[in-house]
Amino acid sequence: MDQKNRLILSVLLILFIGTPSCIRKEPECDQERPHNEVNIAFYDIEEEEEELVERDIRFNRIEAENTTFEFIDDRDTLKSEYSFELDSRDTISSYIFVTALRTDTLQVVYNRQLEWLSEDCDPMHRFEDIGVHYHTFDSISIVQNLINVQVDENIRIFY
Amino acid sequence: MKILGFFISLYLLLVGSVYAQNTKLDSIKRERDWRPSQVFLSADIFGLTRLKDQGNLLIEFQAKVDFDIYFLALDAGYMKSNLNHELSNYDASGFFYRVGPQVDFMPYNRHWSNMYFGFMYGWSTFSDDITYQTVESTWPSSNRGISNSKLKAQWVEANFGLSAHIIGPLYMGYVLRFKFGRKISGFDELIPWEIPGYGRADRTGRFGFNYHITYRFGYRDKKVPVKIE
Repeated sequence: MDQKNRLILSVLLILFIGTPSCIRKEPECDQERPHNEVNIAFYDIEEEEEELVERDIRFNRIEAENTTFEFIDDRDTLKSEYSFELDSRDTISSYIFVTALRTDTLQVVYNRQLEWLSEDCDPMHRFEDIGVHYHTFDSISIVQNLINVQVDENIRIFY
Repeated sequence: MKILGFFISLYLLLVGSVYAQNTKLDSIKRERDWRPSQVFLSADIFGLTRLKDQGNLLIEFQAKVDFDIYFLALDAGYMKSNLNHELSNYDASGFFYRVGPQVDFMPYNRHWSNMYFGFMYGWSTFSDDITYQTVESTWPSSNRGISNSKLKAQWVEANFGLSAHIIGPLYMGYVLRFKFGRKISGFDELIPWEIPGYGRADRTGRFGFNYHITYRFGYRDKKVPVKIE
């Protein structure tokens, strides 16, 4: 192959072989929305030192602070695992837990970034590095600080 | 990385070809001429296609000067972009620059048409801002605004181009670019959508294309090397 043909071949390779490998499929806006919930599980504080035992708790109400939104408004709800949406307007989200005996507050803190999925989609917040900013529970631990759909449990509350 | 590997392979292939060619030229004792003899000033017209989208603009110019069979090229440009969606309105604007060497594979062309390959270092200073409405099931909806006033980006490019003599001092041609190794700084919550001169900021590699109209200023006679067949 002479030099001229090699140059022509090289140009064709750039145009027709290199280009498709650089093209990505654009995501669908709603299906690619980043996960935006913190997962919390309640454990029995009596067993904290020995063995982890999940504890079902009947809350009268769980609400997002300074809103009218209630995560639970059914007094018969009895479970140990909850998922709460994070507030993209701020880097702290506050939740109020109300039982017949006491009211507790949990404030979680996190980083957020407004990122682009596609030219056709509005930008969406991605959350990461979640931690506990303030709480009134007896004992809390962070299990996983990543916020994504594969994480089942971020925070353990011993109650 | 495969694409970068391809460009490196292409570069080695072309450099090998030029080396072989120069070996032939050297066999008749071609004299190197390192003194600059001409300046090519180019304007990109491909970027003007962005004018079809309201609030978008891309203008770009290039100057390059010859040193024997090599060029030193300097690009400068300005980009303004707008993305308007149902819940958000995003604006970005800023300047970009590139500088780097090129090697001409047709130094024997008597009209100074050239086919070249080169590497460039690119950088950009720009700003962006967004206004958007939050929509969540738990929290009240609100309108927010975020801005990044001092964004900086840098990257590296491999480029391949062709510039053909049309008439008099006028030339036309295209440039294919592969941009990689981009770094961005100066942002916090809002990730930039687009870097002037680079393209989408969330991509680690981008292709680019320019179509140039070029004016040649030749300010001294330069001997055209003889092509040995």
